[in-house]
Amino acid sequence: MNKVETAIRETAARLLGEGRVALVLGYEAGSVPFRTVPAFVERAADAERLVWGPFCTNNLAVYLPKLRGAGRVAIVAKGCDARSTVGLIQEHQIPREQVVIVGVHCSGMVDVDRLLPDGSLAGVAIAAEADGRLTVESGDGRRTVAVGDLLQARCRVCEYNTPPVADEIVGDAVPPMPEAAGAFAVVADLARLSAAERQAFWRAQVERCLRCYACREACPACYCRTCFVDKAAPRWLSKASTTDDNWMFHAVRAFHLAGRCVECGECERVCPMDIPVSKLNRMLDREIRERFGYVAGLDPEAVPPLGTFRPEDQDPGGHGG
Amino acid sequence: MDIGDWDLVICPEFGPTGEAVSQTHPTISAKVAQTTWEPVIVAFLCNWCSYAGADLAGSSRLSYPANVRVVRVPCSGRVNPMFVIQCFKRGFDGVLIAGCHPGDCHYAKGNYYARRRMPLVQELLGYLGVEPGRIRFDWVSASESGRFAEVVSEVTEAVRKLGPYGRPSPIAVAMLPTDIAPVTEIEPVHEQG
Amino acid sequence: MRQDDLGAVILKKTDLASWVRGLLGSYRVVAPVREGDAPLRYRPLAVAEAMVLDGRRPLRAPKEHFIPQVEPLLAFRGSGKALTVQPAATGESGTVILGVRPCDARALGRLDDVFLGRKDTDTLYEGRRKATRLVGLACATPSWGCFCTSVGGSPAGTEGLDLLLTDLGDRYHVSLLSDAGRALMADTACEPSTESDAAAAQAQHAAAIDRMRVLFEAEAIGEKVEWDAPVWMRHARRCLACGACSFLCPTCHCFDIQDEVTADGGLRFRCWDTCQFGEFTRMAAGHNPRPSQVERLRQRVSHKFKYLVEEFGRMGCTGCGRCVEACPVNIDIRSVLTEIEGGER
Repeated sequence: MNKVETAIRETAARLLGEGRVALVLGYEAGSVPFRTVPAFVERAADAERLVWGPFCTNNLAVYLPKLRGAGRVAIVAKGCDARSTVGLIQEHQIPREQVVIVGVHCSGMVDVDRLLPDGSLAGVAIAAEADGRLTVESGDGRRTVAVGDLLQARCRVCEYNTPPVADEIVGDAVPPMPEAAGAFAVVADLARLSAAERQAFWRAQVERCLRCYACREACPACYCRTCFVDKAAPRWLSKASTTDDNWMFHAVRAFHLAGRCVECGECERVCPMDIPVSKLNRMLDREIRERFGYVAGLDPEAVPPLGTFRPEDQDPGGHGG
Repeated sequence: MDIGDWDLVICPEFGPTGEAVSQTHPTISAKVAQTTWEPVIVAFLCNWCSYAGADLAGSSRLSYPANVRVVRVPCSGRVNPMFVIQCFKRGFDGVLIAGCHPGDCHYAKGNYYARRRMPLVQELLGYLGVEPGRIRFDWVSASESGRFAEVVSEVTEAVRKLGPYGRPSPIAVAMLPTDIAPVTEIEPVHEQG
Repeated sequence: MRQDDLGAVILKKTDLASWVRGLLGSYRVVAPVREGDAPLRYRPLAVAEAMVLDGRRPLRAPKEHFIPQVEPLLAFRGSGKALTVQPAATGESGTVILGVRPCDARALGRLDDVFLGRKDTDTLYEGRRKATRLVGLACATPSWGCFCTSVGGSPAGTEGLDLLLTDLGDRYHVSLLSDAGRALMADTACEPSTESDAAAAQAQHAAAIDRMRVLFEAEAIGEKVEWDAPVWMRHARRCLACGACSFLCPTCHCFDIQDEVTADGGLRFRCWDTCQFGEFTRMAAGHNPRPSQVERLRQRVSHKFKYLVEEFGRMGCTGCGRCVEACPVNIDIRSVLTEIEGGER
């Protein structure tokens, strides 16, 4: 029995029934057992559609900017989603009063590609066991797996699986994620390579970018009405998917997210070409932390670090790097 | 003559008939082979301080390397990090951003914002494989003509040691063979009707 | 072109590499390869050993070898009266694409409708089509998004292919489907297929077909598509307006034409575009007839299952399932179509 799911449904029904919110953003069942989809619940009776489990991966904060002014919204928020919501509040994309953050303690989301790495997942049936394990039945038989063994990389290193800001909290407190101390290990790995090797690595990664912009669209912090890639005057880069233009797209998007990215990892999950987008964002997040002691998405009143300065900030010091 | 005979580098991954070709620094080896390669560095100079300092260096007949291409901006805080990223996308070898000393900004605060942004751009590009020595961010005041010359010399030498960055400019349309006479009418590409 | 079944041969897996090497001698060979951690993708082969024929169908369709993501159309140099214009070459060297899944081969026929079936032929596309042979690979294990059997296809379909390989463990059953296909096998030592080989191949095909349920009657769906139905809002509300579905789709073909210009010349090229982007239908004055994802999802489904049927008599979908698997928010076109047909969600 999924206590958290029941609690989410009850909370949603209550908030809608009392008229406290006009809409609940949550998760409902997808077209296959290992996917959920963003749910837009507007009536208390529909709260039964809401689900909770290890496949609730989407960052629902991405829908908030478009909902501004459309009545109060409750958002079922994991730690990352709550931080994204805080970021949007900081940047005045949605007023604090318009959002009710229903925080959920999270133990991580499954990486679907690791669920059945050699199989097709077609016809697979998944049942959640009481002890947090999953029973997976496929054409190759039946096995039981621990969710903890199948987590997405971003979840394993998550530092905020308890929502830091919330109006209500659902579920029992959960321990921190096992590798939370290693949040920037991937950055260190790449930093150990020489500049030429890093250059080659990133160019090889972005070469296959399709410029579908799934990364951008899945990101709650990318809400510009006209993205820089769509501007004709000035024309920053070509629509053509050349390695150089793709390189610039990813570099600029990473920079635009500096101090704003909450490492929810959705950009990387949604990339059809498996480009390790969040490795770039993480690197800048580490810089922001080291230079300014700032972590995104924790304080709705805070001014993002690139929107301000201190007279005692470090001087460039004469030489690059 | 075929479109493939032109050194078009906009689509380095697809040849003229659409086949994928591998493309790794096609212009570097040609450049390096020529001993005449000179670094090309874009310099964003703020109008009130560093540009004036550069101007003073010129009128004082101070000698400094001719490798910088100056872009005058009102303030170092106006330098959009995208300018720096785009310079490297276009294949320039280095970028210099020079502004007023902290406290002296003509617009009071612009250089303070630059002081947060520019080092982050250096870090990001460094992580992407652009060596840190290629980007120089510094303060040069209107009276510091000597300092301007010194900064330009330093960054030019640093970039020279690093060699060409050499990403091909994505819209470089190289020299046509000179024996082709220009057409006076444009032929229709497809037949009409 | 295609003829009736010309028989079949057996290619031992131990002979596969030398067969491919033989092809490499005369053709540019494109096949699924795995580069690092990247998903499987059809790329030109440098060596036969780089080819990967196991596993699921590559996530990126072979359409990029017929309509590349970016394709030069013409280059120009000079200005005013002294302008030189050089159009792109339309020739193409002989190419063989190996490991083409039946859905992708069928999809190329849909692209033919658009690029070859009108008054003006797209000569760039035509050059590539004429110069390319397709060697198919029957799907033993459909991927979780696959639904080719619901749109009149099959994991062992032969439409559009010159050869069809079926993996029988230590050997491939190779159906010869055209003279060109037969020529590809001509210089290779292979034995004719026996009855038991044929039966084994048939059994595998049937098993793969059985793994997919037929979900709807796709032929009739076009007529059931309604402009104002709630189905669009229900599914499109969560759409993020990215291009993943369209760019991975083997039949989607919309493109933009852009000029990249410097002071003394430039290049005109075309590149992929998608009706799912917000900018796609935005007019110069700012008006956008498809202002939200609701209209855009309606457009996508209507185009594939209604408008293309009205225009060419064939659907613009071969059930490859890539859009289903790639969609960040699990918009499943199978669910949309089932709902349109009036079935359960």
